[in-house]
Amino acid sequence: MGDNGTKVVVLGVGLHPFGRFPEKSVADLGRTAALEAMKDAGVDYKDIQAGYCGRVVASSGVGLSIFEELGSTGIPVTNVELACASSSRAAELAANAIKAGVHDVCMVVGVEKMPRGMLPLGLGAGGEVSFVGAMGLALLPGEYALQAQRHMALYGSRPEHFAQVSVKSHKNGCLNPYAQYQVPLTLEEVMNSRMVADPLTLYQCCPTSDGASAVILCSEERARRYTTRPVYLVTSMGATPIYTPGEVNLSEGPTAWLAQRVYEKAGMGPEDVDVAQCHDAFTPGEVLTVEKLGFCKEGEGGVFVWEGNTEITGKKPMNTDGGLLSRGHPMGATGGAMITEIVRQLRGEAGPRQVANAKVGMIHNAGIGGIQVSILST
Amino acid sequence: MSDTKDEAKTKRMVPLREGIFRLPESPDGKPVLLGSRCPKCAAYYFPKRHICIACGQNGLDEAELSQRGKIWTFTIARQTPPGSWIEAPYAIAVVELPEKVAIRTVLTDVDLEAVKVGMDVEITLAKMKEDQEGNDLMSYKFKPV
Repeated sequence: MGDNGTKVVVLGVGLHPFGRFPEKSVADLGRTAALEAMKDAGVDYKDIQAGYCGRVVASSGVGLSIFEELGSTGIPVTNVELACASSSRAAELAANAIKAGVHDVCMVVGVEKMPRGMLPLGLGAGGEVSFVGAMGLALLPGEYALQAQRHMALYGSRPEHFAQVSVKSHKNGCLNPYAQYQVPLTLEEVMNSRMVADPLTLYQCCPTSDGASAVILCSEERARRYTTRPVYLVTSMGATPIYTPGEVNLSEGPTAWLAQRVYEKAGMGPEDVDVAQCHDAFTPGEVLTVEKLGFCKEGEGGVFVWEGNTEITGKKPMNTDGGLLSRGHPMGATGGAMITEIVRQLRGEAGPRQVANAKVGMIHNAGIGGIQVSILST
Repeated sequence: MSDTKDEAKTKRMVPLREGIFRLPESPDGKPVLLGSRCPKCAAYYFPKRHICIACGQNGLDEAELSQRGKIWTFTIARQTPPGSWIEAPYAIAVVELPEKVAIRTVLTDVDLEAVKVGMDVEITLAKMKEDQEGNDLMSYKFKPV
């Protein structure tokens, strides 16, 4: 994106609402999101030259099963998996293909159907228990709770700082008709919900969800046929954890290191970001990430959130559509949903969630297996 | 009086998983964690691995790790995750050893309200279950010093 002259435009976005849809198949969810994105872009299915499907659980052939719902044009369809960042990574791959001149128009569909309850990370494919699982260590909220406890010990942040992320998230979710939860929560309600892993209570954990997202990307030249006000995917990069001798690492990837590279590539800095999305699977996701993206100093994330800086009207509006916490988290679909909200913000189409004068958006998406950071702008 | 052919079986300790730690001689002893040490640059790792991340050396030595460390961070699990043999509530801790390796573990013999970052802890034997032959399946936990 940008370094060889070919710019990538996000031409269309679409969603299937997030929630519980037991009667709908993965193909149903994906088809709905794809149709909305194609209508948004003003393209027909025959204009799509390549498909990418971000998903975690669904097996081989899922991408084709979704794209076949739309037509049968022979395009290459690729399944992409990076856990909760699958459709973000898929978008980067699609953008790279456009940049390389391989395709002009690509569609990325993200989709997931999930059972209720905790992800069984301690169990193998056949249901066998791993050593880590038997020892009670395969607890995903635990990972974020471990980070929160360290943050509290080092910087004096408080449990209510983390809980406030959920309060803001649910307030924003009320303004998003596609969100899984459109119900406000008070700080007391969040903190008094059942404790899952100290300090994280139930309402500080994202739900499991069904849902889909679709994003259509094209070259800048192609975009001129459809719009006079393109939104650009300026850059999108991924990373895996970097081993530093003597340092303990608990997160999915080196967010601060990657964000620095993304800013350099985009020729921008944290001060340029008007609106953002981050991986708030659990509330510490937002508190820690605002530091790593450079929106505030290290250690000050708790206070930064507590003082309202990530509200829609704040300095760095974060997860304006409710984030994973209340928009929901069908794992494969989340990346595309993050892109969707940023695009709507940058177009001025976010309605009651609109951030004034939003020109530059940033996305941080994490998954077991790596992270993805992107910048979009008008 | 004659010995019966089927003598009373002495209970054996069996590690829950081989190669991760060494059992002590007796149930009163402490287990020893088995990690890797790079013969070229002396970096330590846990769990074991084959290739040194710091210098690229292919082929690392098995190394016994310190039995004491400090809590780097912790949380209290209040919901038992799927597959866990340990019932909530219990404390999960990341313990940092002098070798600069981080051990993810469960704490035992501890007041859950008193767990703190920086606490000194030591490894201890933990009986998990009995196997089908009546042996004790053993693992390790950490407890306050």
